[in-house]
Amino acid sequence: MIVHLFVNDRPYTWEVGPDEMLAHTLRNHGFTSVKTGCDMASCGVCTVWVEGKPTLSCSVLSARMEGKHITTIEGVAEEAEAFGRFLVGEGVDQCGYCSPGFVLLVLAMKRELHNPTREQVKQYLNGNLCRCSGYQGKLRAIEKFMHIKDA
Amino acid sequence: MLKLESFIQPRDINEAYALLQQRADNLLLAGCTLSKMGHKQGHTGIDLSLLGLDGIEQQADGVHIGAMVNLRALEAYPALARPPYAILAQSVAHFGTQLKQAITVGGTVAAKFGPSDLLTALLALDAQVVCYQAGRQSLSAYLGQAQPRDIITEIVLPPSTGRAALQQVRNEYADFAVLNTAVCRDERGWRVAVGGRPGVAALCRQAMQALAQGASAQEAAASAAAELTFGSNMRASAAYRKTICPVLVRRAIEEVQA
Repeated sequence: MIVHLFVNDRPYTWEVGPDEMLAHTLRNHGFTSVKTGCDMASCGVCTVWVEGKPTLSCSVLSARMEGKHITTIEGVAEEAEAFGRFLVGEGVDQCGYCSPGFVLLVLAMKRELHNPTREQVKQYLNGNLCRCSGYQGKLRAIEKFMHIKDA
Repeated sequence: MLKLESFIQPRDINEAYALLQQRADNLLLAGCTLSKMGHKQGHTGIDLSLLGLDGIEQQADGVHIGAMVNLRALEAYPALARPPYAILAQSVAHFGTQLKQAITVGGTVAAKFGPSDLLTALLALDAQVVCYQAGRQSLSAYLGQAQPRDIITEIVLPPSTGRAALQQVRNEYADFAVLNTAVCRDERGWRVAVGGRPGVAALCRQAMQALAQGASAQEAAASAAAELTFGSNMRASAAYRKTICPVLVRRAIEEVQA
């Protein structure tokens, strides 16, 4: 079936299978920043934005994306790079595999939460796993990026 | 894994219902997360996302929650932030943001998902299930009996000014519960629900009756554990679940009574 959608504000017309998941569709069309990890909605690595909302692309049918706006890390590159400098500043070890999904989730959180506490940040992010960093450096980076002072 | 031969997005519930009846292997598609986690295979996927079932509205007979309302919307709805409804947000707090964006209330109910904390909380709140053809019935009846092929349109929470409590045990923060319990006391009396047995949540009617007759929290909790059946799976044994059940139920009752 044919689906018309937008990725990073550019229109695309793609043929997709009825049970094809968005992560695979995006990767098959060159958006390889979208990673697949668990492939069952548990690790968060595949996170993209759909209509601005963080979404697990491994568990969303591409057929449902008619007319939708998808954002990958490339679509927020400047802001992602700005946040990336905070990660580097905290010495956060990163293989990079979880990073696109993680950064998209952080940027979504920045848009959604106003003056969150550290606990609220942790709760918002608890759907994303990282096997490299141990999370503490990431949390420090987020707090500096979002100017968070703990309650 | 979800396998489909075709995909349709009806804009009319009559059409969706007709498609559902056409073939026994036509599947309703809500959040799709449980379908993706398991091994679901069907002919036509009938997408419910364009049927306008994603609203929440407070009416005279209670809060009407559309079947396609996701858990993010559920936890954010202001009228559900106060007691006793606040246990709904509590029941989904351990999910990741993206997962809450995907999981729907109606999909959770229709799946009769055993470990679901949300189902246990809804049961304690005396939720009603409204189906397109079958009409309204209690969630307890819906969960306890086989249902004809139908489309859940909404879940209704009756008005309540009572108190409720939720108690859970899980091995990891974001894992499914080993056992969960929800207790509510309001204008309609006591309701004690236990889920994650690992079977689907059920009301403990003998425990509820005991409480109504003045039994202590400990007595009622023991009654709840005695009247339920428990099973073993990778998360816990039946014996463990049976052991912790009266502890969780007692804590929940005491929290309501406090």
